[in-house]
Amino acid sequence: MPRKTEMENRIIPYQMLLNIFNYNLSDLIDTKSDLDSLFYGMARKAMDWPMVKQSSEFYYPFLDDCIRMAKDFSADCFIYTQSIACKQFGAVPQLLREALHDEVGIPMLIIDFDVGDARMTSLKAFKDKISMFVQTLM
Amino acid sequence: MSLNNDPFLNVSNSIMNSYIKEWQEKNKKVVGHYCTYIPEELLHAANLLPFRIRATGNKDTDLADIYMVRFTCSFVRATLDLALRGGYDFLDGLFISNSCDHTRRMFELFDLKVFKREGFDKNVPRFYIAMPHIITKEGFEWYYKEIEEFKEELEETYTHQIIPNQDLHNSIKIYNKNRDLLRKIHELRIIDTPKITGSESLQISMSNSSIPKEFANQELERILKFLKESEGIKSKVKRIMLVGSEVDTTDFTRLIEDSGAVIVSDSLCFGTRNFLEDVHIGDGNNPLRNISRRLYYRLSCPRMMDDYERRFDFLRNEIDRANIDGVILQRINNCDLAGCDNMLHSHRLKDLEIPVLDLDREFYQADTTRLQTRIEAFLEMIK
Repeated sequence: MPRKTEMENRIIPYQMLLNIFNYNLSDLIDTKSDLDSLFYGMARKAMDWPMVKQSSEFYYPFLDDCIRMAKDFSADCFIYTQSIACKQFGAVPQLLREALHDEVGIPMLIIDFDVGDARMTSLKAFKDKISMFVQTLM
Repeated sequence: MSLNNDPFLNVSNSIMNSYIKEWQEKNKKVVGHYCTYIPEELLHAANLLPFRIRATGNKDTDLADIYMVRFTCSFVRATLDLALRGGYDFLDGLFISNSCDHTRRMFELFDLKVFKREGFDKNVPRFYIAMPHIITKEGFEWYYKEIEEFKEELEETYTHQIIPNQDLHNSIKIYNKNRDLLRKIHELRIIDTPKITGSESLQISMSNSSIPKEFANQELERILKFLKESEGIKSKVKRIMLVGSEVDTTDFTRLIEDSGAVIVSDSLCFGTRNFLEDVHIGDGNNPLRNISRRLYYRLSCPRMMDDYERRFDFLRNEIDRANIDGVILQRINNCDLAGCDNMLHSHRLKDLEIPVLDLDREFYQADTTRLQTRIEAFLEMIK
């Protein structure tokens, strides 16, 4: 999820709870036992890093995490941005949309975009899509 | 006599075939797999019939497009589409590896959407094999551990007893014989008067991966005998090597061959890469390790990193051996792996002044005329 801009804060009445870069639920590294535990903890932490974890894991924990977060934060909706280059996640959007609908009862907006080329989905298109989605919900 | 309408080659025209029906009538299991990195000899030793997943004949991706974004490869979407329509309901197991980022997600999609869809209540066991992306000693040990675990899963799920080494040996012998026959047929394809076209070779390869190997070996022996006695193609047509993404329909190969060429060699999933190396039996103490070693160290597919030079060496050798006039590189849109390799091949082949055509296409035959024009122009360009 791209960073919510100041402009969006002013024109769209919603508060973004989390994005993929602050969604990091790994355990702390054990620094008090032996060296092996330390290295294991660091390796675990590296594998749990946002995007590394989700792109190397099966979808199941990601779906569970999203459902749990949506419930914990009483989210009203979910916005999912799909980068065209990210084939690892190319099959998750609809699964997530159905899971959120079934488990939490909230809608999800999917926006396809290209990280390196704004011509595919411009900032204005982003704003329009999100704005329309949120206004529909209200 | 010709291979036109040959019953063995015709097996490749559909997904279901009479061999599968007969196999299942005897209460035996058929298991699907997407990639050649799944150890077929092990499945054979477990008395399972391995079926290589393909989407031959399916031109739709409508249902799959709901679950996969439009930037994923149309081959994978076509297979999922077929599965969502019930085309793979006959499977008694599904084994997937992380061959590429598109196919690896078939594990979850088959699990959640194909095998749990309304009205389908068969329990289909699934297993995922994690393959390293680099070829190293440590990587091999990882892969071998995965295969050991896979064997235990098969024993627990299907055989309910340990698969003995002797059974693995027998399977290795049958599969080595199969590869030997395919190599012999390939040798008749690369000669000056090719005895077999690229489309026919592709059909043989697809049929071979859809029926029990014992029957396949009998059929391959019959075809080999027939080819040895046949005259071969004497007309002056351009000799092409076809390289790149998955091809499992003759629509595309026929488009090339009907334009005045014959595909005398290839580097494709359903092609030469399958039969180049055998499993070495060695001292026979650990056949599973030998099976794993062949799969891991053989000529890689583009999913393997740091192994490009070996793949290009194969191309160069084959270009010389098969007296290739030009190379057609093709990739299914959004296939990252073939995209990278094809780009490298393209530059290297041009440096060597070998005519090369680089095509992007969809899995199903689309924009045929555009492709045909480009292919015909390429063939005219070759001196």
